[in-house]
Amino acid sequence: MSPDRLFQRLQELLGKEAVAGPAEAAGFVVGGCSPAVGAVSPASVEEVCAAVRFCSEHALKVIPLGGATMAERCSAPCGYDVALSTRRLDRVTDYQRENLVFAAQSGVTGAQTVALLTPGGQMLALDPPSFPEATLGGMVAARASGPSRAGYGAPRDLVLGLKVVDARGELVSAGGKVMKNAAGYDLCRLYTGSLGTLGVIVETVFRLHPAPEASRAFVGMFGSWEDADRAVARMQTAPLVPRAVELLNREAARMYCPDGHAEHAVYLLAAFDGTEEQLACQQRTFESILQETGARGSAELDFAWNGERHRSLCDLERTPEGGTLLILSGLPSDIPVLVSHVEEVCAEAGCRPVILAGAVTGTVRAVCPGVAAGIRERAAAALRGRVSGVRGVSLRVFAREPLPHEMVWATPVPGIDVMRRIKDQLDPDRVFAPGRFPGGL
Amino acid sequence: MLQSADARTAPGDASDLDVALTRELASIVGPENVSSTTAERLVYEADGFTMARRRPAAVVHPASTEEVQKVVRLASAIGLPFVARGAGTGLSGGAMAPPGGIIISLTRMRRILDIDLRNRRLTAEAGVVNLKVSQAVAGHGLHYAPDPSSQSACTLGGNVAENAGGPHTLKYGVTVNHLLGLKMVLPDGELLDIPGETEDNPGYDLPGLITGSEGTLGIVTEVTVRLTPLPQKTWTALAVFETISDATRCVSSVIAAGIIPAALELMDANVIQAVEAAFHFGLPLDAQAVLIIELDGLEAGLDELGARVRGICESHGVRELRVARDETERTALWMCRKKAVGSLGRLAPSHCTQDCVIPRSALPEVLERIGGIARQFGLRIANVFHAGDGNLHPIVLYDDRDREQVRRVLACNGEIVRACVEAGGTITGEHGVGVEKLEFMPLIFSEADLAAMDRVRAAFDPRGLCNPGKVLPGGPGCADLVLNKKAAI
Repeated sequence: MSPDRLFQRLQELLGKEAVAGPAEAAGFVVGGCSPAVGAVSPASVEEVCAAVRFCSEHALKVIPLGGATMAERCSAPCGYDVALSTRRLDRVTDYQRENLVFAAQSGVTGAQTVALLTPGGQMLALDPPSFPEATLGGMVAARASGPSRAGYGAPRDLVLGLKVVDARGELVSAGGKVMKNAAGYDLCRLYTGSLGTLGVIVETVFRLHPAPEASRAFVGMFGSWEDADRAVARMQTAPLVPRAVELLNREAARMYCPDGHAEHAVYLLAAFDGTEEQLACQQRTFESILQETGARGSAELDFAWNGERHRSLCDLERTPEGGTLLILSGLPSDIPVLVSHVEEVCAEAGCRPVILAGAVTGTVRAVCPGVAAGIRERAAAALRGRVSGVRGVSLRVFAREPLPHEMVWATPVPGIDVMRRIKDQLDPDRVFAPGRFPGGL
Repeated sequence: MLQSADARTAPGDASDLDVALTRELASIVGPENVSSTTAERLVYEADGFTMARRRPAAVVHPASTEEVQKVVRLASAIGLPFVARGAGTGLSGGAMAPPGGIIISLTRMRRILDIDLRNRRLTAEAGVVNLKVSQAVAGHGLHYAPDPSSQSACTLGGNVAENAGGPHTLKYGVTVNHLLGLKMVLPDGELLDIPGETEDNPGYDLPGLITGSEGTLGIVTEVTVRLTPLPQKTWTALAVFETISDATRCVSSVIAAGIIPAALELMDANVIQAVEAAFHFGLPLDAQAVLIIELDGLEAGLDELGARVRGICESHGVRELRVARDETERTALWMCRKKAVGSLGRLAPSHCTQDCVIPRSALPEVLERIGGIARQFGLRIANVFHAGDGNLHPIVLYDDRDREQVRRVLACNGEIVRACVEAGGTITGEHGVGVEKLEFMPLIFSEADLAAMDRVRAAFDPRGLCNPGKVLPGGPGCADLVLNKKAAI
C-alpha cells in the first residue's frame, strides 16, 4: 500500500483531524526526521489500540511522542512511518487526594498537573528539564528526572501503575493504585524508561507527596572539585535531609546566578524542604560544613518548588541547538574525576561546557555549546576511552540532530542480551521506535 | 497438612535423583553440600506457607556464583527444574520445589563483600541475612531500610525475590527502592551482571523487573544495596483505641493530613492478647486496637509533628497515647510488633497470614468487612498490619488437624482477597503470589496483562525450568499445584 493510501486509511480510522501528513507533521519530527506516512493524535485509549493495530498489520514503524521535550535523548530511529502523539490523551482519570494518588493519561502536561495539585497542597515530585511542557507519559517513558531526585526518587519510584498499548494493539495494565504491590512481575519498572520501544504508555498512576511548607537552597563556593567533594562527603554524615545537592561549574553558575556569584570554580547547591525551623537548622549545619571544608563564600536562594530558581536549575541541562549533552553516571565519589575527564576532553575540542553534577545520584551532565560534528565524534570517543576503566560508569551522548546508537549509548550496556530477548518477546516485529534504544533496538 | 503425591511416594532413604546425577552435583559443591536423604529433604518441603508442600528431589548448597552457574548449567542440560531458596521465610510457597526438581539453597553464600560508606552502598552475597546489613553499618550512622518482620532470619536474595517490605517501608520504600545492582544466574547458567555503581544503567530497568519476580527469572547471587542514614531523632508512640474503626479512621486522617510517618502499624484485640501474654509489655487487654506510630527525621520540628499526630488521634477518640521514653521502650514496642505473628501460637494451633493492599481511605470499611467474613465462616481473625501503607495482614486462626476448618480457612481467605480487590486494592503487597495467590491473579489482571508477563518470563526462561508453576497462572506445573492444594483438604 502506498504512503498516500495508508495515510487515507489512517484518516478513515481515526478521523481527519487526528491525522497529519508528512508535510504538516513539522511538530512531529523525531531524531531529525519526519514520519514517512504521517502523525496521528488519537483521542482515546481505544483509538491508540486501533492505530497501533493498524500499523502493526501494515508493518508500519511507530514512534510514540509526548511533549517532545526529551525526544533527542534517544538514538536516531532507523526510519519510521508514523508518529503517535499522546497530546489528545489529556484526561485526569483519578485523583485521590486523601490517598496521595494521582492517575492521568499520558498527554497531561507538567503544568496542568501543577495547576491541579497545588491548591490541594500536594505535588508530583518530578522536575526534569522543560517540566511544564513535558507530558506525564513522556517523562515516564524517558525516565526523566531532575535535581529533586536526590530527595524524592526517580520516576520509577513514583509510578504505582500504568497502562500500555502493546505491539499487538492490546491494552496491558501493570501495577495498581495502592502503595505496595507484589502481584506478578513489576512491568511498571520495565516500561518506565523504555523510551517507547515496548509500547505506548497511555496512562500512569503516581504516588504524590505533600507540598513542603517552605523550600530554600544554600550555595557554597569552592576553589576546586576536590574541595567541594569533601563538603559533600561531610554532608553525608550530618543531620541534613536535602531535596537536591548539585555541583555547578563556573559556566553553569554564570548562567544560573546572574547576580555575580560566578568567579569560583565550583558551586555546591543544597536545597531543602520543610518548616522554617527545619530550614534554619539545616542552614546552620550546612554553613558550618562550608566553613570546615574551606568554602570561599556562600549565598542563599529562594528555591520554592516549581519557582523560577528551581525551574531554571532544572532547565540548565536542556540540549542546546547545535550542541551536545554528555551524561555520565557513576559513583558519587567519582564525580571529580569524571568532571576532570569532561573538562579536558572539551578543552581539546575547544568548548567550555556547562557542568551540573548530582552529588547524591552521581550523575554528571555536561552541556557543550556548538561543536563541529567531526570534533564531537572525536571528543565523545576520547571521553569514552577515558572513562572505560572506571567500573560501572555509563556515558551517553545526545544532540538535537540524530546520532547513531553506537555514539549515543557510548559505553557497553550491561544486560543488553537480556534486553534484546525482552524486546523480541514484547515487540517481535519491531513496531515501536526502531533504533532508538541501546543496541539499536 | 497432606503432602503431595511425589513426596508421599518418595522411596526410603535415598534421593529421588539418580545416583549419577547426585554424584555430578556433589562434584560441583562437594558431597557434604548435597542433601539427598529423606530426612534432610523433609526440612525443605515447604517455606513459611505450609499449606502446600513438595519434597525436593535434592537440595544443593553452592558457595559461590560460579557454583550456582555450574549447578544451573547441569540442570538446564538435562531439563531438571530448580528453585532458589534463602531462609525459607516466604509466605506464599514461592520456594517450594517444582515437581521432580531440586532446591538450590543460598544460605552458604553469606559474605558481605564490600561496604562503601562514602557512596552509601553495600555489596553482599544473596544468603546474607537482612538484619546483618544494618548491624554491619550501624556504627556509621547508616542502616538498610527494608525491615520485614522476619529480618533476623530472611536473606537479601529472598528479599529481592519477594520485593520484601516491612513496617518502615511506608516512608523508606520497599526492597526495589534500595537495590542498585545485582548478579543473577540466568536459567541457562549465563551470568547477568548489572553494576551497582551507577543509578542510571542505560536500557531497561532489569533490577526493577527482577525484584519481586519470585525466583522465576533466574537466581540472584549477589546484590548491591543502598544504605540509608539513621534519623537524627525518632518519636514512637502507642495509641490505644476503643474500636478498630476509630483506629483505622485515625490512620486515614494522618495520611490525608499529608503526614508520612516512618511507620504506622495496627494490632487488634486478638493480637494484643497474644503479644501481651508473650512479652508483658503492658498493652491494654481491654482495647480493641492499638496503633504504633513512628515519626523520624530531623530533631527540629519532630515534637511539633508529634503534637499534630496526637491531635489527630484525639479527634478519633484515642483513649491513651503513650510516647516511648527511651530507646529501650521503643525497642520493646517494636519487638511486640515484629514477634506478633509468632506469638499467635498461643491462640490457635495454626494460623494463615493474608497479605492484601487497599487504598488507605478504605481501611475502616474493609476492616469491618473482614470482621463480617470471619463471622460468616465462624473463624477467628487476628489483624496486625502496615496500616499506613494500606497493607493488610488478616491472620486466620485455626487447627490444621481439622479438615473441615482448613476448607473454611481457604474459602475465607478467598473472600478476604475478593473484598480487597473490590475496594480497589491488590492481592499481595509483600508476600508475593507464589502458589498461594495463583488463582487470584485473574481478579486483577486481564488475559493481555498476564500474556505480557508470560512473554517476559519466556525472555528469561524459555524452557520453564526456573521455579515453574509460581507467580503466573497457567504456566508449566501450575495445574499440578492447584490439584495439590485441593488434595490437601
